[in-house]
Amino acid sequence: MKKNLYALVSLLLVCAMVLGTVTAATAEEEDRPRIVILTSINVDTEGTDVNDNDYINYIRDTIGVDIEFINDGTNQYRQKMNTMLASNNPPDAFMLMDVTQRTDLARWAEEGMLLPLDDYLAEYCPDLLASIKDEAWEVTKYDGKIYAVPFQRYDSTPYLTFVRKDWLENLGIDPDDVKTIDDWYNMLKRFVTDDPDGNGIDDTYGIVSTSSGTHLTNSYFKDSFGAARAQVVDGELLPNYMLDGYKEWLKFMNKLYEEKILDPEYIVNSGSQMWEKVASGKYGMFLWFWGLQEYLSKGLDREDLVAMAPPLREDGSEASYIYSSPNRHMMAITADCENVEAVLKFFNWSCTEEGAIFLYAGLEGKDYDIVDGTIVLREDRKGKNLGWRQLTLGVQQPNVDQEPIKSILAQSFGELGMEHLALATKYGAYNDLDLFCPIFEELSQYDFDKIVSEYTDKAITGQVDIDATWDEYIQNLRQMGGDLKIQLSTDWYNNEYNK
Amino acid sequence: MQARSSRKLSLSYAIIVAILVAFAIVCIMPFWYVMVSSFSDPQLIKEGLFKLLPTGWSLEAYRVVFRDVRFFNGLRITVLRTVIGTALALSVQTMMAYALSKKIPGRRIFMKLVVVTILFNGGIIPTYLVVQSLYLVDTFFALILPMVFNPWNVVLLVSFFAAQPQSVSESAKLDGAGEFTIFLKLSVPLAVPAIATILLFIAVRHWNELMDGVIYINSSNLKPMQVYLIELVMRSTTNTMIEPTEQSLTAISIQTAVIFASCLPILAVYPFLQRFFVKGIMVGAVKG
Amino acid sequence: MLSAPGIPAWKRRLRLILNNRALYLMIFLGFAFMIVFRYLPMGGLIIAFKKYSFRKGIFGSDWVGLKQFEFIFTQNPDFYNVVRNTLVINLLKLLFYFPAPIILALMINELRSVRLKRVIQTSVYLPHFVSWVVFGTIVIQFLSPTSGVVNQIIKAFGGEPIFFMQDSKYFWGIVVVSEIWKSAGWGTIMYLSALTSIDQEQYQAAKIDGANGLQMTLHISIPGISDTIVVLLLLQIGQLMDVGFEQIYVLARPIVYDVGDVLSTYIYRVGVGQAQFSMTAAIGLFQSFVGLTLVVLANAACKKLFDKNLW
Repeated sequence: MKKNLYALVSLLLVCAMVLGTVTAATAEEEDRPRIVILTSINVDTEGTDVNDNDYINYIRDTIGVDIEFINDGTNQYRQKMNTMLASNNPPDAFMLMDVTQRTDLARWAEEGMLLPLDDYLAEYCPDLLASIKDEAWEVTKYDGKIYAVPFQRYDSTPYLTFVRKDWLENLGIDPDDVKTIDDWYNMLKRFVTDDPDGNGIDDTYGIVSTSSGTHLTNSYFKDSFGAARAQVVDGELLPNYMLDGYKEWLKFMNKLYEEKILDPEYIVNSGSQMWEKVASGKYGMFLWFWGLQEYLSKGLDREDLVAMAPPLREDGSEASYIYSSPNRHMMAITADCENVEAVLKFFNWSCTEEGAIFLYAGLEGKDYDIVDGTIVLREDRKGKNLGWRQLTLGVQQPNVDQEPIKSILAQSFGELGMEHLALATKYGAYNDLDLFCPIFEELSQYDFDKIVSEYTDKAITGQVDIDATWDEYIQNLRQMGGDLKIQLSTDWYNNEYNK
Repeated sequence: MQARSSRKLSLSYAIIVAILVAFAIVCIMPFWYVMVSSFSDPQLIKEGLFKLLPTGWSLEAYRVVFRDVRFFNGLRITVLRTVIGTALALSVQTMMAYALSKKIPGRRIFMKLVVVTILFNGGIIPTYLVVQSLYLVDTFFALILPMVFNPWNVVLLVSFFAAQPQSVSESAKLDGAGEFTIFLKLSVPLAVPAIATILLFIAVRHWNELMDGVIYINSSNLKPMQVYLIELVMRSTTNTMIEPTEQSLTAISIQTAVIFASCLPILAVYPFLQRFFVKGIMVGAVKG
Repeated sequence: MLSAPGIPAWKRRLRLILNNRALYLMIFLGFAFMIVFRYLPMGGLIIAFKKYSFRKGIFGSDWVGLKQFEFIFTQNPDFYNVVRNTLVINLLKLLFYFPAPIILALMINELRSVRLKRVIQTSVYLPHFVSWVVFGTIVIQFLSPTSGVVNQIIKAFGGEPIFFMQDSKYFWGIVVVSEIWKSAGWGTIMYLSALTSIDQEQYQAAKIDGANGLQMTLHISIPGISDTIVVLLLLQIGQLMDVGFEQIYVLARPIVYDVGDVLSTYIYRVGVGQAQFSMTAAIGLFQSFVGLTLVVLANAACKKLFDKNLW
């Protein structure tokens, strides 16, 4: 019996050893520079491997660079990134993503893990420089130097408020008449009280939302109250969540919540649940990407919605939807990279005309055909794999208002979709002072988000009396790193920004 | 299990059965929800709502999970790592625990050292650096070797082995049997319930483990199934890329299909293991 | 025998070691893996006393002594709140969750029908396989103010719906109860396994003496699995400073952070999210040392009271 056991174990070990030597076999061409990029391509790749498919092979052949991806599409990307950079074998370039991308960049740059790109850009990335706007580059700077190439969204301010057209019609409201905050309030109030879906039951709400992500609930009306952008008050540069306007906005949102205009379950709504509610027809308005992908995939029609501008401020000026960055992510190059030119060539290519057509239209013969000199997308390929190509390239040509890109996109999104894109761009703006203000490493030990989110949700849901607790909230923030942040930002504002 | 001669249905017994059945039903519910949701039409299901039958039958979620060759790649890796990893880990842990259950010099220090590893953890990056220095990064064995030693299991097994009566092994020793023979032929059969339990724990752990696949593996063909599945789930939950007309499967469809697909093999294998949880056979005479 | 008088103690020990060299060999393999994969990485914990720099690595980074700890303990009042939440949740779990699998196992053990036993066992294991991500949505839906079962019942009795997930006072209860729902079943495996190891003859002898079911449970079953209980209890106490990440991450919204934020979520946000590795290591060390102290104390107490211990 023992002999059989040993035999079995030995057999298993042998099998395992054979397996252990199996590693990826990438198609390698001789004499092409090779670069390794850590990235997160988390879209459907039609069953193919990110390192072996028509798109990446085309790029490799066209640019003459052997690109290899280490791809992590899990929710553990940050751990993966940290580990690879701590190892003795970091990638040549990698993606910095999500809301922490700026702190990550500051951290890596501070430690000399990243390559400053300023001296390389003029020579190797003329198209990138010409296409990507200054604000996008600002976000990639640390200590005055550029440390990453930004992926500037072509829809760099992508959100819009969508209101149900049928409800407006049923209640006789003309969207053009809804301009001020009071107008909006009255309209939303009527959504709740006046039975807009005409079913005789009192079951409708004004706004549906989730509470996650800094742009969702929080973007409604914020700028209209002057609560979305950092401002200088009494000689101090205060972040938006410490302004009096923020307090006013909280009170307004609380009013909406108490009167059941804002979905009382907004705190626990997940993304899916929000769309279920939209599809249920019981909610009058929501804020979302102009692209409305989830909405459309539920079989609903863009034509049923009206996109509306944010309400005017008290002083009559126009408000916007405010964003902290025009970039979805950034691509940084590690200091140990040996093939810097190859990496930059790769990134730059996406902003050439050839690269832009590849990105937006795909491959000739696979995704589109050339008919009479114009690019015509194949029916079954319309709108497919755009995200895949975007993530494969890592950066993109963001200016879509020019031909031939404009008509390519129009084929994917339709006329109304393109209108919505234009509106989203028009109604969006940046939190300038916050965007240009550098990241201070001393602040990374503090957790402002937690305090702000907790207070915001408690205030909106009425668990705390805003007037009674506002001062305490401010004091708490100041004590937990807020004073330091204000001092550093104000110094920067006075000394560097105003030059 | 001996048949009891008196079949009186006492009140206390009825209560026990009632409570257990009620609890069992409550426990089945989430799983039933997972199953039903995975077979429902992705557009129609309401997240979190328990339903007895699928809302609109659809295999779409499973189609997405299974159509990718990477799923089967992942499955292969996961099966291999579970089989090999469990065999190796179980052997090492059982032997170690058996030896530690004997009263030999240094035993207490060893036990303390083991318990300390339950409380103290070096962290992901230092562990990665160790794995890297052993040239294990991006190899199959990175999924096996770090999990060979598990302090929880060892501590539990020690308490099981320590509870075994010494008399059997002592008489075997007098007959001239070596320590290892005693271990294999006497102790192990006696400890079958405990060993089977630990085997289950190790196997399930291997099957479900995600982090090592993420951190240690770079090549796609070495990624265990869990990594692939989580990537699938992530695609449908976070989406800041705009795909104009791509059919996105709702998060809940994918999540539940993924759960069901990944735990089905375990649940299929489990009944075969269950018979080992029946009491171990006492070998030979123990008393006197 | 070795107890012969006149042989010095050290010689006796050496004899013992040599006689048992097979056993030491059996320990060796596991020991090697333990040193390599557990103790070597612990060297990385020194970054709790350093300012970790990726460039310089673990050994090259600068020493800052206790500065990291100083920051956490003195300049971050939030830390105590987080520690309190962690401790409270774990104590509640110790009180309510820990006995649950034991009671369940004892009950299951009473079942006479083998088939029923198997069905119940398999059923109660099932929630363990549902990830917290999905299980969390089930819990949240269950407690939903508009469509959740609990609130439907409340409304049927004429009450106002309760927003459970938004209200701090319910959070701890939700955490403990949902943990029982999800994990108590899986936890019975260990105890059932231990129960099968109890000599059946003891039960028969007791029956002959006229003992009823409850008495047999109290005097045979529980003592029979007491080793397992003690081991698991002691280990649980050692983890008192550590609440699992996934459950809290899924169930806690910012609005209940004052009671819901625990060390693991705090570390995730600040440590990982803001790349504060020294801080992560420092907090980890803190957790470990508290755990160690508690285990040592509890172990000593157990030895005195029950004559059982871990080592």
